[in-house]
Amino acid sequence: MRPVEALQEALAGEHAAVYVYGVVGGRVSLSAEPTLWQQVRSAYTVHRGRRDQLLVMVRDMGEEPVAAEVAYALPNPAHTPAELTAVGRQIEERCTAVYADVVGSTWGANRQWALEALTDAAVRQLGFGGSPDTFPGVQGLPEPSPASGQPAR
Amino acid sequence: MLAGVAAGGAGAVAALAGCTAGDDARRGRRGREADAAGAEGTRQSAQQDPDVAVAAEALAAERRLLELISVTSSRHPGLGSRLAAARAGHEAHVALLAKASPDPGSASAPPTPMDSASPSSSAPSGSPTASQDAQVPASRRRALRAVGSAENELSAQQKQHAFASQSGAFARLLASMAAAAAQQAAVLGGEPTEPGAA
Repeated sequence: MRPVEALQEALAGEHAAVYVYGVVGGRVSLSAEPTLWQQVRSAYTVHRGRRDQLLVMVRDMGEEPVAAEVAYALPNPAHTPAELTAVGRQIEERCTAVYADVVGSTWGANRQWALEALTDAAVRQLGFGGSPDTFPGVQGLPEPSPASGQPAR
Repeated sequence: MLAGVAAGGAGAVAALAGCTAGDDARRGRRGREADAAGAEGTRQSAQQDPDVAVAAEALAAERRLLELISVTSSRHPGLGSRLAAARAGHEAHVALLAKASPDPGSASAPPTPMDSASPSSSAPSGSPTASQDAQVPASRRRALRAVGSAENELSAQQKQHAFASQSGAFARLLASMAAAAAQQAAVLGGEPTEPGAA
């Protein structure tokens, strides 16, 4: 993948993330779910900032940035706190994979930036109920065997 | 000779990462760019793949973390289960990086990552020592947070290694390891959940 293609994919992902977090943010109750509300708000701010940064990065490479879709399908009805939490988790998981690809397709300052975005998304998904991964964002690698992780007592 | 080993090692990583073809293309392009860049200065010739050194450093960093988990678990056996996921993850990282690294031969680091995973077995050189054990905080909570801090440090190191990697596929792999360490730091770094706090 050319560097600019990887950045365009990341930008497409951030367009979706900004849209979805905007929808989710409107459905989370600050009084009933203050922690989730804060996490969604923080994620919205971060993704919007990254989207804006990617617009600049793509233009700097001489290409027209991909535009946002009019709307994006949500992966579930996104009404209950559990559903809203799952939406956030899925967004961050997708961003983790996208930024792993950006790391692999770029170098220099762009790779450095993608490294931070990847790490942020990997940690952020924990706040939405995700579990630590052996290889966040990278599929198809051998996972540890169940026995190897258990203490021998 | 080293170049051949290095190519094999990087190839193994690329194959494991499941993106051999694409990365070969990227490596080729970047290799040519590196050659072009090398013409301007004193960059080492391409005979020695710089990713070999990156892989060795990344491997050493993962092993140091495993060592810390081992001494922490032996000092605080009750933390074994809390540290099990981190240990398993880093063991998987070590296994992958060991395949990417040439046999260190007479190098100082023993190529036996599993030794550090079994602190209770009879101790060859390189296993946790009494002095390392004494450096583990006596408080379980502080010991756990020390591992969390080490995970953060490891994450930063692996990010640097990913930054330095010539191979895109290898950089992606190291970046994933950095993200994994950051996740463990997030899990271990906080206060242990108080039962019944909610």
